[in-house]
Amino acid sequence: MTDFFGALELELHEAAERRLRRPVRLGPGLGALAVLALLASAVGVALAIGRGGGEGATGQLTGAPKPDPVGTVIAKGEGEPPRRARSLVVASGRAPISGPWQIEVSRTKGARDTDGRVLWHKGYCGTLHIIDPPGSRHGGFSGFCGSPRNLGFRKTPGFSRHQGLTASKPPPKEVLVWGRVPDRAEKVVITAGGRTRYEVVPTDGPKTFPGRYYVVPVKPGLRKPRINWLDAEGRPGSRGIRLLPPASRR
Amino acid sequence: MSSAEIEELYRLHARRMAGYLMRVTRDAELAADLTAETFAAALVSRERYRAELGSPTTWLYGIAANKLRDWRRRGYAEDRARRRLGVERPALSAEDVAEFSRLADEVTVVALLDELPEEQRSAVRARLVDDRAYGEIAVAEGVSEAAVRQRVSRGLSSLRQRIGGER
Repeated sequence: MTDFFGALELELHEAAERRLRRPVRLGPGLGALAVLALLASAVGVALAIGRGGGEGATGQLTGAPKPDPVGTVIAKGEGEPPRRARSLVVASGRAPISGPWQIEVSRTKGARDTDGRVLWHKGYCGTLHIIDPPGSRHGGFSGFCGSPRNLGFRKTPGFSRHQGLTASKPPPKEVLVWGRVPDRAEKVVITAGGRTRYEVVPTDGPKTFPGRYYVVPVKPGLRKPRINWLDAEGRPGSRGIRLLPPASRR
Repeated sequence: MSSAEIEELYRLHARRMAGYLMRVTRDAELAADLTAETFAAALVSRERYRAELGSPTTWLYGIAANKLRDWRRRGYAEDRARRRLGVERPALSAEDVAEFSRLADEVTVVALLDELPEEQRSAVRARLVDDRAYGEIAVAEGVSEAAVRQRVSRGLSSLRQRIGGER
């Protein structure tokens, strides 16, 4: 799958939300719309997150919202947007432009389309929440669930890569590349164009949902970017994964 | 129809719709424009949907057929609903273009048959799949033979248009 359908779904979702918010009546449809944006990425699409071209770094403002600590449990129906299922915070932090973020996992019963084909399997969904994206009235998010193509959280004891962007009105300012890495990963590295290099140290998830997670904020439009993880000896853990637009040039 | 139901339609039909529009237009950018406009128009006009007049899928494809008709008449894809909603049509990557081509190849008559109105679908299926005579179908449906012929004709015309041919 590609990111056109996920990005268009998010556009429609936000349009519907704007229209719903006008009369200040947030019905149960909003939750369904929110989860649809998440589920659209069930097959690994990259979702554009947030809207508006705000330049401010929300996370640098005094009193800016903070992410929940790792291990926090958010009950179904709580949080903003209201969670569709009980969610567990497995990583959190702050990006230079996008501000505070947190990765959450939740269970899914799986789903099939009207023809009975599996859309995604029973298992886990991973979601990156941008808590206060710049230039946006509401939080953005990007996510994926267990999928038939082994891209889902359920099938990622190893390495996964997903991405979302903030300040998505052109030009986007920052892309958050995120995912999960094996326990022996010491670093996550993105290289592009021979000189550009981003490195982050993945963080441990809670004891109740072990794993190591990462978020790498990058500039959009990188030339042939690839992401990989390194072990303690600095050896690459895989062949690496290519990044998609808008992290890469189109 | 609620916004959530529109999004459900999107989730279930966006790719097939894109394949259908790609099949007709043979232009990924245009198919992307029309796909976005079709779903935006569905969102705008969702309260005008009447279940007694047909399934949501039939209604959705009716919107798409109107957008195609406008495109043929004007030479460009309309964006009125998108502008009204403030919906940006996402740019296509090379992977997206390849995906649109693949989706166009996946569109089959059998798949599209399900999207015809019930009367046309059963008439086309009875005549062409089950190979039943018009008179026999007419008796079974409780209508005239001329009505059956008209339903089959309209159903085939609609399928032909959706699969990429001309009326």
